[in-house]
Amino acid sequence: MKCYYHRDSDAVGICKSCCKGLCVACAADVGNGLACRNQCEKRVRSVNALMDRWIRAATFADRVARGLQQAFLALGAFVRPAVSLFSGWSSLSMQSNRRILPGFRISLGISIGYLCLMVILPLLVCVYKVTTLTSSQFFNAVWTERARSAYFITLSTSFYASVIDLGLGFLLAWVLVRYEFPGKRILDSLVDLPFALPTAVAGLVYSSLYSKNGWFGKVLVPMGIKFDGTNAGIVLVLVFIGLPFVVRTLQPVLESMDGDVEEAAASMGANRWQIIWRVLVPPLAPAMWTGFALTFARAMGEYGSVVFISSNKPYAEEIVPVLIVSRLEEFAEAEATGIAMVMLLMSFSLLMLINYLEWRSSRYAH
Amino acid sequence: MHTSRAVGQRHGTTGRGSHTEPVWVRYLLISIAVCIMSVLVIIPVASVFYQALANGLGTYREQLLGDADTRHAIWLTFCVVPPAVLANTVFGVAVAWAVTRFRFPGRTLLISIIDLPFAVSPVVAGLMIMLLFGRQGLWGPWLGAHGMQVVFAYPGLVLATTFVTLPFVARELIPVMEALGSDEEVAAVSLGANGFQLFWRITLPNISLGLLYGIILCNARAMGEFGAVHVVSGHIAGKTDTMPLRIEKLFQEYNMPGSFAVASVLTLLALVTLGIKTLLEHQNAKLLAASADEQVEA
Repeated sequence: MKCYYHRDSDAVGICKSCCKGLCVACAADVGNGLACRNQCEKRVRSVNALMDRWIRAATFADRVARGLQQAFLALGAFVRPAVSLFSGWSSLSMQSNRRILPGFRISLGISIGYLCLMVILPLLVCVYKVTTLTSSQFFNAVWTERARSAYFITLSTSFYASVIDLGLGFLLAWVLVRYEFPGKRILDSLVDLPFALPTAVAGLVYSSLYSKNGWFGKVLVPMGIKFDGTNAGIVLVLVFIGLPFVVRTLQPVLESMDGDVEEAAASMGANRWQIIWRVLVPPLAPAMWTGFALTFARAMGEYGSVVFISSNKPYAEEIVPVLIVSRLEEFAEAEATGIAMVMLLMSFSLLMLINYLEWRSSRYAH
Repeated sequence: MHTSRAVGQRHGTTGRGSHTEPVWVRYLLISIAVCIMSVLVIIPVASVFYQALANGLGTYREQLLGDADTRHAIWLTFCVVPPAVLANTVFGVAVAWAVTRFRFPGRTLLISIIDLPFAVSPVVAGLMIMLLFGRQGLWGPWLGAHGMQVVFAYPGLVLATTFVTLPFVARELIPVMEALGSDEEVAAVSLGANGFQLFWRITLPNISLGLLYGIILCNARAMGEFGAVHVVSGHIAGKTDTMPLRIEKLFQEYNMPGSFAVASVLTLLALVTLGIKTLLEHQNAKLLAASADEQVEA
């Protein structure tokens, strides 16, 4: 092919814009091809520049969108319980149930009415009572030295009890799921006993067992190990109260894992600790968190059993529920409500945390 | 879905013949587990009965039935619990029906509100009832002027017990009804069953085991409720003391045989509850296995 402008010279390429052949003298390199020098060159360059700008803008927008998406994901993880509360618009098949199955209005009416009357109303009254206090009164009620020590004792004993329960619960769940032995079914159903046994009975029997003349106390007290009337005793009964929660959360997860992965790890030369930390713990971790949080929440509100075994001395062995009761007995209802409010906030945030952990574990389960 | 899980479980247990642990580790772990359960659960339960019966059956009966206040506490407990359990059962069935058979905006919110009483300390629950009905409470003065007493009386005890045991029946029923699905019910309606027939003939027989366990667990918790009742009862011996409160009072009076005698009744109740639960689970597993076999044959 010859050049369109110089018929005698050979063409070296084609113009991007008008498709004419171009020789070395007429060809202008526009970066992504050739164009007629001084003819199409200007137009091609401006189109190129325009496209560059668009591409840059588009990449930027893309990056921003991805960032936003990640931010929303992170945000969604935390506000997810609140957001998903209003889901349920979808799933048309279930919605058509409303036309087929009877009782939608009456069952929903009973449920909402009952919950409003029994749960929402009392909670709102609590909030209302707190708002009758001025902010300095509220602060004086919930941040006294006695209240601070009660918060500390409640949180620390609940924390220790949950950690111990996590260890014991893991071991029990492991043995109950993996091994066969006589009496296994009885042991399995006895795990639920702390759930069914009245807390007052638990407190009574523990305080008598570990007192000076009790079966365990006879041995332990001379050795200087005291549970009756000490914080260790509080931890002990909380361990008892919280035991079923960890075991019952871990059991189904352990059942769903079969031994193949462990055997594979062992055959490839992993030792026992490596198998436990690298193979067993990662898939169990969400369930362990949930069990821990459930135990913690239960332990924080516990009253019946602790009141028996603890000496309930202010500043030393007084937990928050005991403090609330003693404030009430002094007819200081508003102060008691303030302290109760602090406790409610703590346990509700824990409940949110449980929700979040359960959601995350169900998300990563597959 | 139900059946496939049951089959999977059965395969799981039979296929788990080989272990990576050496035998001695296995026995060590089993014996540690048995030790933990003995120290935490078995010995305490045994000691309740031992202490209660230590001075012979005669003393036991004397402690339990000879004391007028204890007698009244037992009677009061049996009066407080039925209304609470009944209310929570009606609520539980209604909410389970609404939540598992229909989808509506706010459904998840409803489910989370059912769980709220779990997160509220029983003591705080009692406090809430004091704030509503107490002498300085919201409606207390009005009720007092009309000669009605809620706090420090029977209605307060029922309310406190109801609040604390509110989630139990609903919590048991929701997963059961979710797993059952609504196919049979839709079929019944299309064949012309009315709402009443639908509930009695189709739904109730299907959920009876779960409902029964929910009621029993609710009952056990209601009888043993301590914290909330402690706040609203006012501890008038022979009037507003339930069994757990009587245990505390006898304990404070250093009357150990007496408090253990009352405790043994409640412990027996807890053991019976667990027994029934195990029985129901066994029954359920048998039913599931039977239906799984049917499916395999079909």
